[in-house]
Amino acid sequence: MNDKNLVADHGRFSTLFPRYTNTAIALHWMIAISIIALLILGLTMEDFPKEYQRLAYQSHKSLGLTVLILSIVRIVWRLTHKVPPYPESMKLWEKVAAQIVHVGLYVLMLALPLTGWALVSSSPLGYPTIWFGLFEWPALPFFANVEDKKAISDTFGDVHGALAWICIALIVMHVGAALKHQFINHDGIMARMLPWLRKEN
Amino acid sequence: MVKKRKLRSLVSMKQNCYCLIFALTLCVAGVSPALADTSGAAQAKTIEAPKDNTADVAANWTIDPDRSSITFGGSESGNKFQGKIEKYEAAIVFDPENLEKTAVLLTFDMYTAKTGNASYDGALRGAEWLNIDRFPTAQFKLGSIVRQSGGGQAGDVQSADYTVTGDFTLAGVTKQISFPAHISITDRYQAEARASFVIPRLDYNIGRQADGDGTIVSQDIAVNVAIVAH
Repeated sequence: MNDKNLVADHGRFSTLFPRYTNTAIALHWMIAISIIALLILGLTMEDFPKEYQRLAYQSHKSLGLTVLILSIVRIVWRLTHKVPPYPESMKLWEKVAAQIVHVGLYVLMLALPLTGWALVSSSPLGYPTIWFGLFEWPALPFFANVEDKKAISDTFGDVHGALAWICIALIVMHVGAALKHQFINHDGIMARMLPWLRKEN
Repeated sequence: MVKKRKLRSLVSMKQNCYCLIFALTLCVAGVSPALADTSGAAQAKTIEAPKDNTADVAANWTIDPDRSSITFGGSESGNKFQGKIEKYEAAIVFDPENLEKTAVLLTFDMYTAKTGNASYDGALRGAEWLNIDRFPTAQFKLGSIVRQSGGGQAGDVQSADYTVTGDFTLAGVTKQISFPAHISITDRYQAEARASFVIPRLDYNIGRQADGDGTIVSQDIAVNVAIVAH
């Protein structure tokens, strides 16, 4: 399918399926790009050359906390707006699966940064988070006087890592489904979230 | 600011070492040999007031904070860091001719220990590292000072190497440390002291839980002391 058809398809379906608002699209893609960057950084930063590790960790923490804020905004948006409905052509199990993946992703958007924040806050290393070098992001207060910080921090680290892999699995399903809708079902669902079709709306 | 504290021992020292200090100050000040040939007692009488003054200067020193620095450094994840302790108080009694009377008490305001890197400085203050909220000061109390070499004069400068031993209290742990120091008295109003030594942080349990084997932060922290005093 070439670009002309994509626009044509979008035009055809846009009346049936209203697009996400510009706010929702902006939030979706800012968070999406950040999460992909965070996953790549998170999986590789321990193997960075030593002298770049501090920068890598600070960047990961800064971006992760940014995702936390953006996700809170996004969830507030989601709860206060009516989203475009699934097309009638979708089977019930497909709708349920999509819904589960979406809810899972929303949960992870909060759970990943929160477990990361907790593991940093309980880390015996005690490095503060300097948000993109600008200001100190406070540590969670509960862990200041914990006896065995390392055990708690390592546990949060394990959970954080496991959630990251679940997140990767959900992203694969989410992207796979979006591409299937676009290129196999041709139902225009993916275009509802694509920023470059905004003007055609 | 550096506070000047007169130690009580100074009074007796002044009396005991009256002639010695006077002779020293004459030499350091570069007084002409002709004047030095004059009888000590007679000379002392004629310049009574300056004598008292110079004896005080030679024994009881006040640090010049603008020209002194106390720095520390090490490496973290392969990157070098360097920090400085901005504020400290010092009570120093030192006379190269009366080393047994030497008394040094340095008290460091650890809140002013900074590397300039916000991440490092935040960690430094934390419970696992210097635990500054609990131990806001570090202290060095001199035990003994022994001259190793030098002690002579070259022109107006009297300069010598010493071995300094004393109790160092850091993060609530006190250890006896010993290190070489070079002290020169450039004239009767100014002394310069330099010392470089290493503090093994694990001796003070600093970062033991976080990094007990020096994987991240070097175990040896280099300390450089450069003091100018009057």
